[in-house]
Amino acid sequence: MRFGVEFVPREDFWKIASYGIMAEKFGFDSIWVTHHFNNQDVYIILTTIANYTERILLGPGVTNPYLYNPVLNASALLSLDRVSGGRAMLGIGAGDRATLNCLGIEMKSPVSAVEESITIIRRLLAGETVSFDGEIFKIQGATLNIKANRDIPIYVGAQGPKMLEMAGRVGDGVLVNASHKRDLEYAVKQIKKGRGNRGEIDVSAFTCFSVDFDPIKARRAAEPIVAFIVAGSPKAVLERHDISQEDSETIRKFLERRKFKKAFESVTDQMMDCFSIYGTPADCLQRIEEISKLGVSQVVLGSPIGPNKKRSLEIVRDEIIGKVP
Amino acid sequence: MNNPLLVGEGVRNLEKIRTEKDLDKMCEEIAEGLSPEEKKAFADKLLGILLDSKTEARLDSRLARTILYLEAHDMLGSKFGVTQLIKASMILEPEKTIEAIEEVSETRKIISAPF
Repeated sequence: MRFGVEFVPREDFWKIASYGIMAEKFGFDSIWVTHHFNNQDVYIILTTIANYTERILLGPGVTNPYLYNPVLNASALLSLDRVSGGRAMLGIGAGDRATLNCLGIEMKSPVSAVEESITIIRRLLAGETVSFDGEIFKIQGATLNIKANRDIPIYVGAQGPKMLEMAGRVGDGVLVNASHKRDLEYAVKQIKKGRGNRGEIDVSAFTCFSVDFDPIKARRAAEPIVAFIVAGSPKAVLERHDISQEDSETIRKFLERRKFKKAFESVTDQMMDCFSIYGTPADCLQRIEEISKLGVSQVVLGSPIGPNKKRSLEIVRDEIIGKVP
Repeated sequence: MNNPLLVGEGVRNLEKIRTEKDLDKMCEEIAEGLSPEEKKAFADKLLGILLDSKTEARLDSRLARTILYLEAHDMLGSKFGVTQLIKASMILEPEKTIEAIEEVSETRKIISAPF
């Protein structure tokens, strides 16, 4: 089992880079940096991490086709690959509706937008002059002055059935926003439907994660993230876990009114188990071992990682990495 | 050579810091007084203080990048590494840093005190 880690570029750049250095030294295989306009720029932070590391793979987790045009993503990715000595990866998904809404950006046909982006990016990186007349993107004779030295892997961030199927069809890997057996079994089934006979694809479980020797502290750290996940989950996902629309709505309304304490207190044990991996190292290891039997080859530890990031990364190093075949 | 007196001297000089040169001197005295193992542990503690800091104060980018370079090359536990870390954590979290320095100074006194 390989391990990735997610960082949100909201903290000072040097803190994120320090965690990135730790991640490499502690045996993580990949770093994924989130992409929202209201944080520091994803590619600048990735480049900063690249400048202080040697081996760990790095990429946006995930960018989207609306905030950055695929041509810009291709250029930035190529630059990152050069600076890092061939360690760039791309994670691309539909994007976050709440953040894109406030920019007046319509998330039109997200599955097509992501698929078209991937096509355009691959062709540009291969050195082609690209003309593309798609549903979302219209490009005439775009070319990059520098060609990529290698095939940069492209992971699709996916949760819904159509995105999962498309990911299987065109991606090198899939970042499935899930940690529960039910969601991952469903995802793997959809991915295989899209993949057909095209060979192996890297399926990664990208999950809210929180580890600490004190299970209560671990839970408290993850509750806010799970609250937002429950509030934003589609009906199909809630139904899969027997979580009522009403409970999701309750949390959503608390969050909208900024009554965060009430929102986090409304998160049940069931919700925690459905949408995160949390607890002591043994608790987390058990969950990851379950996941490893489902066709998942990488677990990406998403925010918060733990109540104290440095300590939690050290716990993962000592108690989890290398313990799952 | 490890010298517990230097760590203590550094702590006593905290109140006399007026300039960056004073700060550099204090940091060097403290780092000088620690054994390699103590430097490594102290560096780890200071890095933790820096990463946990939520203060409004901002670290100078050059100092931050120096620390990152040292971290990437496993040199935070060197004399120079500890000096830079003390400097940085005095900027962001002076009270916690002083506590950490006093703690390591007390530990040195306990270790070096005769039975």
